[in-house]
Amino acid sequence: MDTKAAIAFVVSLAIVSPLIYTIFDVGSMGGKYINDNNFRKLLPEVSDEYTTALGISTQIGYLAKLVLTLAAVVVAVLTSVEYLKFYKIYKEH
Amino acid sequence: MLVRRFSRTQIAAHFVISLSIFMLIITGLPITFSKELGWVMGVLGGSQVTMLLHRLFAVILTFSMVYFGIYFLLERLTGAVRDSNLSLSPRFFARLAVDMVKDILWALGVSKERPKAGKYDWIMVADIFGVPLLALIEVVTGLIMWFPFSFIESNPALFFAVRLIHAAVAVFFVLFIFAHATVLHLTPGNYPVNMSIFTGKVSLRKAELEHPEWVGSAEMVEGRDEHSGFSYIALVGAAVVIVTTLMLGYVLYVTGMEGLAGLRIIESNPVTAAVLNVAMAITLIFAVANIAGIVRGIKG
Repeated sequence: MDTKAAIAFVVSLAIVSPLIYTIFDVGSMGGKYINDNNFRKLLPEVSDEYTTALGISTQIGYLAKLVLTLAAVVVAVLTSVEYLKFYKIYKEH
Repeated sequence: MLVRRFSRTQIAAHFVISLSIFMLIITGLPITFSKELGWVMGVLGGSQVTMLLHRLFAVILTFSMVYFGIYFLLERLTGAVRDSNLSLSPRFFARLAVDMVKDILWALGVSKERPKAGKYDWIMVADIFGVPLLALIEVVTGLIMWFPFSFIESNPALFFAVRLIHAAVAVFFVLFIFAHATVLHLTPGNYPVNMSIFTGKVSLRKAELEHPEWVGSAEMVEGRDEHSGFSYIALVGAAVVIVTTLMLGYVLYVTGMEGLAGLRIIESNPVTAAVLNVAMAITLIFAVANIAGIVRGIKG
């Protein structure tokens, strides 16, 4: 193993070691999202937080849907053009 | 005569990163589209096993991306780069943009001049920088969900917004991988498998046709030159993947926001179910071909 590979290996292992250590955990919130239904508590501050998050999520969702739908079309068209390119390259030779 | 195209480190990087991405798609899509792809979770042993596998391959992807990211930078810092045309300079990216336009115009028959590509042409550079960028978004959003940190703990509902970004980028990742695998394996000159990423070598003829600017600086190696031309099977395969990509656009078009659960297929129909299952089948085929390719490459 050369020096570059050794440095990269040690740094990478150090970075992912907390993930390996907790891989069997459900999550650091301990399943709070599932068991502790904050909507049912109807606390105004909790309700406000969720309303804000819902607004943000809705905006992200709207944008994501639009971008991804267009992306699918662009990717399909570009893939077709690339197929055509390779066809022309190998047809000529 | 053959030409050395990829180092062992690059072959290993491609295999580990691609396998972990395939496995993340195979385990992640059923989590997002559980109604249509729930059977995958059943095959894998249930939702908890699927989630565990998703985290396991996320760790492998994170490790690989950090490892090869550091290796890439160290190579450039120590001047160990040999025949690569990859650069982070604005001039390099400006040339790629021009090449992309010229390449598309040539493919469509509008222009008579095809740009002379170096070792990596514009679409390969898009893959080389696109995959780490998409993976980075997925790793960061995935880590926030795994370890919600203080800013999420102060407003746990933001968890759902982060999860929505994670799922949306993952769907784009599927489109990206489909395009990458189709262009590099199902096109004339490449079908059935472009073995260069598994053996590290490519035929001199192919290199001269596709990367004329690079050939002069490339290392020649002995080996058998395998010719590959047009194939009707490859054409059908490419058509199936391209139509599936387009239909995934339809699936996304019919999604809607289901409150904090995020983008969901509100009313499942036979078309959306069929498209998602075909997409899953294509992913499985690419994953198996990836393993078969590396085994054949190692055998030599």
